[in-house]
Amino acid sequence: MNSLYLTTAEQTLFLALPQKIQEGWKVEAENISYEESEAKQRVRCKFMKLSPKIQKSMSSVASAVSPEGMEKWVASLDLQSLTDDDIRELFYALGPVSIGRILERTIPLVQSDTDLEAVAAIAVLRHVIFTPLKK
Amino acid sequence: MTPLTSTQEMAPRADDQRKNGRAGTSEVPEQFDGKLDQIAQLLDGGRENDAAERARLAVSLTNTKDREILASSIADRLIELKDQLERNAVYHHDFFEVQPGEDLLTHIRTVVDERIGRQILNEANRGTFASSLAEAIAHDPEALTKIQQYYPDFTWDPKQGDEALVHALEQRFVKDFSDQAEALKKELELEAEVALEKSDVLERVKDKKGMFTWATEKVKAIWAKKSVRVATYVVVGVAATLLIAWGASYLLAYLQGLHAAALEGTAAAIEGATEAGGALAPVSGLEGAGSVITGGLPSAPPIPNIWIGEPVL
Repeated sequence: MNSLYLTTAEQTLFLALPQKIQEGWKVEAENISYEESEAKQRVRCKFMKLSPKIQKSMSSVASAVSPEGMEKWVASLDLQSLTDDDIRELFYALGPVSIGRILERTIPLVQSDTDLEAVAAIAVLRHVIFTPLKK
Repeated sequence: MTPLTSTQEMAPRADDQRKNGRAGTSEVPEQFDGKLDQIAQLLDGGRENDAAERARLAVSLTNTKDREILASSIADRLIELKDQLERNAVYHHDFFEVQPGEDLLTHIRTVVDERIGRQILNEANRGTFASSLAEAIAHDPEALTKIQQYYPDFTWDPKQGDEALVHALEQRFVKDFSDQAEALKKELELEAEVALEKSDVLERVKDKKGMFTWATEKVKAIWAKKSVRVATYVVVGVAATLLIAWGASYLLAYLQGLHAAALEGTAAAIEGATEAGGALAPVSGLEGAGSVITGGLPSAPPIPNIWIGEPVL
């Protein structure tokens, strides 16, 4: 897998990376058309169905009543144990605009192939989840 | 003022239940349709004649946000009473039967929210519901003061007596509930749209299974290495999504203040460590949070506008 599904703005950021890092990657234009709204994102989040382990983490969020509590809560999330279904649910809830924001922040940070693979993976998740099937 | 008694709501009283040989369940209404009497009975543990408490609940039921918080309290109470309530076939079927993988508390919250919503959405229920709230509030000065704060333009003619006040409140609530019903209708339409889209997403993932699996493996791998800077941004996004999911429906107001302060503080600390050339602290998982959260929309309220900015990608 060496395709990077990027919007025009993201491509600009990618092209600003050192040539050595860009080598071996094929940029594909990301053309998702998605009408996003605050209300829609809330509903997507509301409809999120996660595995019991992650659900259990949610029950302890009430302890995050201070910045320190918040940090501890986030640190306690065992994100490595997410299932594929959890990842689909989470990225769908995030939505293409939020994922785009994450990509815009992360692309300029890329320093290695490993970093770029992470960017590619996030972009692929957005592409798969938010590209309608051809009918 | 003489307390009025609601005649519209038919929830059985505690003594009726005892007569029916259901000792031990006296504080629980026979069914739960989201009516004021039932809510008071359930939360009050048999003190449903406590007019002040009833008035307080009635005030909470007049606005959407407080209603959501109240729905959460009711759900917690139903969970507390689970062992007892499961013996009631109606409760068992409506509240405690969940789909595999479905979270019980979330399910109950949704049902409670929906039941209360029905009192407002349904035109036939609306008048009765408004009337029960009006009666409860009209006879409690504290509750009435709250309502006057909520609706600064609310007026009635005190010379016309208590009934005029009840009537004025009832009219006001009916009007307000009509507006809320419109908003709820839009919300339900949006929910239907998202449900449909979500079922499409399952098909899309099936169709591109290979790509999807490759990407999930990579994402899991980067989460395993929190030292990868890119991972930290994704962790922040995911954590915030979890918070929204949990808070949006039930504790949004509470989370709104907490969220921004927590993330900003953590981001500042992490930024300092990064600039100093130190390794990113693997414990927090919030590295770069400030950039993600506040970078795009510095003046926006924290939760609702975390990422949303452009309407179309």
